[in-house]
Amino acid sequence: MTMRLTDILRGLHEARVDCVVVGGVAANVLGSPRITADVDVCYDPSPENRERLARLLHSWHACLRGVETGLPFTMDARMLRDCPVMTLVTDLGDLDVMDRVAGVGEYPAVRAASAEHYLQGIHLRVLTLDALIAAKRAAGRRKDREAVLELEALREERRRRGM
Amino acid sequence: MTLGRFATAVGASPRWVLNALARLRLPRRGYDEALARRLALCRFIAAAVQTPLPEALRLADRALREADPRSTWRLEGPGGVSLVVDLPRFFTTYGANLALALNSYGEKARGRRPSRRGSAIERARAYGVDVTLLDSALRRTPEERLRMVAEDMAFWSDARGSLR
Repeated sequence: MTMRLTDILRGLHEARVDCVVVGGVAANVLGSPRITADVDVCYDPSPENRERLARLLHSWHACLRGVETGLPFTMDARMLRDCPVMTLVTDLGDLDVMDRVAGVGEYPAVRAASAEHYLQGIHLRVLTLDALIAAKRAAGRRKDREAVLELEALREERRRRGM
Repeated sequence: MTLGRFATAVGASPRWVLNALARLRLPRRGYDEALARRLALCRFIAAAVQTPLPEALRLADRALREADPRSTWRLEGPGGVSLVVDLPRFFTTYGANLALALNSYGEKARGRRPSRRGSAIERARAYGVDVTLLDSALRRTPEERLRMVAEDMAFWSDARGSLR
């Protein structure tokens, strides 16, 4: 299955899912050269928005990534409410959805720490570099240590260039 | 599985897992998916009906052995009391936690953190980050960067698929 990043972002936008792009794709948009394999999205956990997201994920045949396919799985708004972080595989590629970001906070804080971009005909909210660094620090995994150093270097370089 | 990954799959904290294993007289090693499933259902039942963990584990084992995971499991008890477990809903939540444990969980970095003195670029370079790539990435517009990451992701997903 070929990963279709722009189709995922366009689908979220067209379905009017209120969300912010976080993680590797956000870092890439801001200038990180790091390769990423999935799209991370933080969504507004209001009931209407959860319903819109659940419908969209259902239409993309979302299922759990890396888990045996024999297990029952129901993709609905209640599922999103019960599981604040989900790692999914869809028809369009790997997608992680969450209603909060460690180190940044719940959705209102995540949205406040994001900026709107208009890229490839899509309006996207993307997490800022400062918030990405805070999120990586909070995750605190071994692989995040290098990412923090790279993002801090990116922030310094962007400042030096007046970006 | 490590304890941290196992606890993520169960949907509990590592401390809860260790306490539960001691209470249930289960060995504190051999963390595997089958045990995570038993313990997750045990926790689910114990919380729902406020029953002690050993009794909840007995019910969980029975449900996992006898029930069809695609339907609710009903156990009639004495005095007209019945226990109904929505197994599809349980497996959905458990599966989400298991996927999280398998895909996103990582052990916390230990040891001294890299120094925060001096320039961030110098610190990154000293750690082994190729900072020359930042320059080439920043020469592109955000639009170009998004297009590139989309192409990279498509390429790597195809490559992974061809290796399976």
